[in-house]
Formats: sequence, C-alpha cells, structure tokens
Amino acid sequence: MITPQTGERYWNQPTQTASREVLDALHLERIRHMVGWAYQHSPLHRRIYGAAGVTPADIRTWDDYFTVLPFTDKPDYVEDQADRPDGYGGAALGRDLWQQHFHTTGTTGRFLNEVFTQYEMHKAGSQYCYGLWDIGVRPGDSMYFCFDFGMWIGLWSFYWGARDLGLTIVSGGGASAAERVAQIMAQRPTIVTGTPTYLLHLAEVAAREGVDIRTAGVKVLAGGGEAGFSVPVTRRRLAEAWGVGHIYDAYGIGEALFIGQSCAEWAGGIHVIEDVCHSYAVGLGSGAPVEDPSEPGEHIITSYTHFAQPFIKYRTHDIVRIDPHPDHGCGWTWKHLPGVVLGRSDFMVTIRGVNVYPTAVENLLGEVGGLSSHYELHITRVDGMDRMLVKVEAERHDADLPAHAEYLRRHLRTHLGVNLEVDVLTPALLPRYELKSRRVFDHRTDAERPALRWATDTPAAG
Amino acid sequence: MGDRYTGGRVTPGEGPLGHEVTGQRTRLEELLRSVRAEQDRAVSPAVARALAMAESQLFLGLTYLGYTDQLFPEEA
Repeated sequence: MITPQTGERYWNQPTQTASREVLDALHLERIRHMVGWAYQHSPLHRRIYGAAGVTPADIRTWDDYFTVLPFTDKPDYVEDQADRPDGYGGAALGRDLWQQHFHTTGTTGRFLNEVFTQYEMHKAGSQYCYGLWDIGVRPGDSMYFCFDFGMWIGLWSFYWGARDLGLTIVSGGGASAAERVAQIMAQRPTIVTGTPTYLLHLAEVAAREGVDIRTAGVKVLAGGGEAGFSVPVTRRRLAEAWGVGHIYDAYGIGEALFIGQSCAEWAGGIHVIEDVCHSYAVGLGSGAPVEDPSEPGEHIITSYTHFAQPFIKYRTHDIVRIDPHPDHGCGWTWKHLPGVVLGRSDFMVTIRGVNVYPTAVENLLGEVGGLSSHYELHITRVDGMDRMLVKVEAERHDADLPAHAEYLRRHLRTHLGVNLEVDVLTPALLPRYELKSRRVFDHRTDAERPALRWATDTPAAG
Repeated sequence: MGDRYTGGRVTPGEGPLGHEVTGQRTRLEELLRSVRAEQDRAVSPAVARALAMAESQLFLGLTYLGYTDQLFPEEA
C-alpha cells in the first residue's frame, strides 16, 4: 500500500499532537505512579531509594524527579539478579505473570536478564505503530523479517508491533541470504526489516545472484540496531539499492522498552514515543538536566510500560540531543532526537547489532583456562561494520592454539551473543608494558567512532 | 478534537485531551469494569483466559487516551 495520506494521519492524534504542557503533566502523573509501584514491589528500587532517603511521597514535582530521585543503571540490575533466586534484577512481579524473557549484554560479560508480561509485549510493539502508520503502512501490508529472533528483544518487539498494526508477517528465519532474496522476490513484502548493514549485504547478494531486488516491490526498509538508518549517506545507499521510498529507523533501549521512531518527514532522527516513556538528557558529569536543545547529554529514560521489571530514571549511557519542540512538518509534538545516538558516555562497540563492552570481553578472557593475561582487543570498521579481533597469548608454548581459539570463540559467543574474531598466539608475542598496559586498540577514524560524533557533527535534516 | 487543556495539574476526569477523548476514556473504563466482572464469573479457564486477554487489550486502548489512574492491568 503506502498510499498518499487520506483519513487519519496519526496513529494516536490526541497525545501525538498534544501540547508540551499537557504531555508533561501526563508524564509527571505516570512517573509518580511508577515510582510508587517500584518502591512497593521491587526490592532493588526500595533499596536504592532507601539509600538515598527517598520515598514515593517525596516525588511530587519535576524538580523532585530531576534532583531528588536517584538514577538507576545497568550494573544495579546485574548485581541484583546475582542475589535473587529468580535471577532477574529489579523484578517487581511474580513469575505467574511473566510471558517472555530476553537478555542484553552487560559490562561484565554477564547478560542482563529481562522479563516481560503479555501486556508489556503488546505495549512494546505498539511503539512501532506510530512511525509505521505515519509513513502510510496500513493493515494488509506485509513485513519480512530477515533474522532468527533469538534472545534479543528487538525483533520480537517489532513482531508484536507488526501484529498490533495488522500486518501480514513473513518470516525469513533460518534461511541463507540467497534464500531470503528468493523469498522476498516471491512474497513481495511491503516492508523488509533488518539492520542497515545486513540490508546492504542482502542487496549485494541479490546482485551476485543476478536478481534486481528493486523489482521486488518493497516500499519500506525498516529496523535498527545500528546507526545507519539515520545516517544520510547510508539511507541514500539503501534507497538506491532497494528502490524504496521510505527508510524507517527505530532506536531502542530493550531492557526498558524504549523504542523511538522516525516519522514520515524524516529530520535526521527519531521521536520519543511519549505515550509510554519519559526521556530527557543530563549533562555529562553534572547529572543536571540539559536545558539547551543543541547541547548533547546522556539519555535518561523512565518507562511507564514495564512493571515486571521497572526502569525509572535509567541511565542509557547514550549521548543524544533532545529537541523538546520539534517543528519539521510532521505535526508530532513528541520530543525529537536528531542524529539519534551520537555517542556513548561509556565505551561500547556495536557488532552486528549487538552491544559489546570491551570490559565484558576482558572479564570473559579470564574465565578460559590455558590462556595468559596478555591480550589485546582491536576494533576496526570494515564495509561500514564494526569488528573486534581478540588477540590473546596461550600460557604454554606447546598449547593447541586452534583448539584454544575455538573454545574461546564459543565462550565469547555464549556470553556476548555475537561471534568475535579470535587469534590465540604463542607466549611472548604481544608487547609488554612497564607502566599501564595498552589493551584496547581502536583503529577506526574519528568519523567512524561514534563516541566522537556528538562533539563534531550536526546531522543534516531532510 | 474538543477543548484543549489550558494549564495546571492533570486530574482524573478533567479531560486534558478534550471532551471527545474524555468520553471515549470513560466508556472504555466502564467496559473494562464489565470485563473484569465477567472474569470473576467465568465458567471455564478458557473463558477466563480470553477475558484476561481482552482486559489487557482494553487497557492498551486506555493508555492511548491520557489515562493515568492506573498504569497497567495487574494493579487492579
């Protein structure tokens, strides 16, 4: 379909076009309610709030929220899950109401376990409907999923969104790239969902197979997991390779069910879905709200959707700019994040859509027997995709290097959810340092390294 | 859309999003109460489960309408 707009333009006009004043009033009510819920039902939150001397009754105004309520962070949840018999940090509902669980990578090499109720999965999915509806997707359109869904929430929530919007779902799970090209040509979906890197790869595979993917009739490329969908040059490459009129970006904080969406009048970023969460930025180091929309800060969110495992005033460590009064023609009044994620306040690399922390890799290396403590992590950018090579020395000269490498590769894969390149070396091949050892080598250019983009880049609009 | 909210703190039933929205929200709240009452009288697990899913979907509808009295069905 994707026809010119007629009838209802917005998925939910009452709130999607409400004034900032109305939205903020609704936000404050929901935040207060959420804080009360977490305090009452989540031992983790009661502990955090108790340590700060805060009770829900203390959170009455925006100033209370910004200055009195403590932040929460991923390590809080990872530590809590280690102490809980159920293994889920911050859980606030019993297992009888859990419907599905996922995990995401942590900074220590241990997954953060996530749990959601049936309602929460629907509500997560509903976030996609705003953006898809805006570009003209309607019930009867169809969505092709390129990947196996796995233990990451991203594609599952996309799937629930497609169901909630009434789309026909076509699964490309368990197929090779060439098979997926054939399926797309046969099924002719309206929308193809994947990461930008993979969708470019699929277009290349199609060309190698002698297939002009532009004749498949695909109207929209959608997805997330990487920055490409909001990078102008990547959008152009994708649009040309697939012959599509729309590139649709989604930015998510999976554990907190935050899924921002691009609108039809793409302005270089995504909107916060303010029906389900509050979003603001704090100064790096200061922790105070950023007042100037042109100034980047760390993205802080509160989800109103996630009760099984509340995320309130949660540090995402993503560097963003937030425009609270966007005016680029779409009519949405919801906050806009130009450039989406501009960098990180910590050090994280996204490899094939999976967030990988070098600290996690370092921890996991120490768990593999037969390897020494001498290692290096090399980060490169190849064909627009970040890669990490792990070099580590074996303890013994007579070690079976290929066997060690295979074991390490599997260990990293098991605990990170993505394959890294691994090279196990004979002892004494890596340099030794007298003072602070150099372990992480980032070979990307400044332009390729997202942690630096926010300081130098102003994403182009339109 | 009906009247616009003009300022101050939102209170339940005040209608910050306009009369049309308030009207639909009120009707959905009544529907939700009816569904919950039927759940209590369900004659089989099948009917009870179907009504639980209906409750969840109805609540989803309420959340689009500026409803802040509760934030999810299990609170009821």
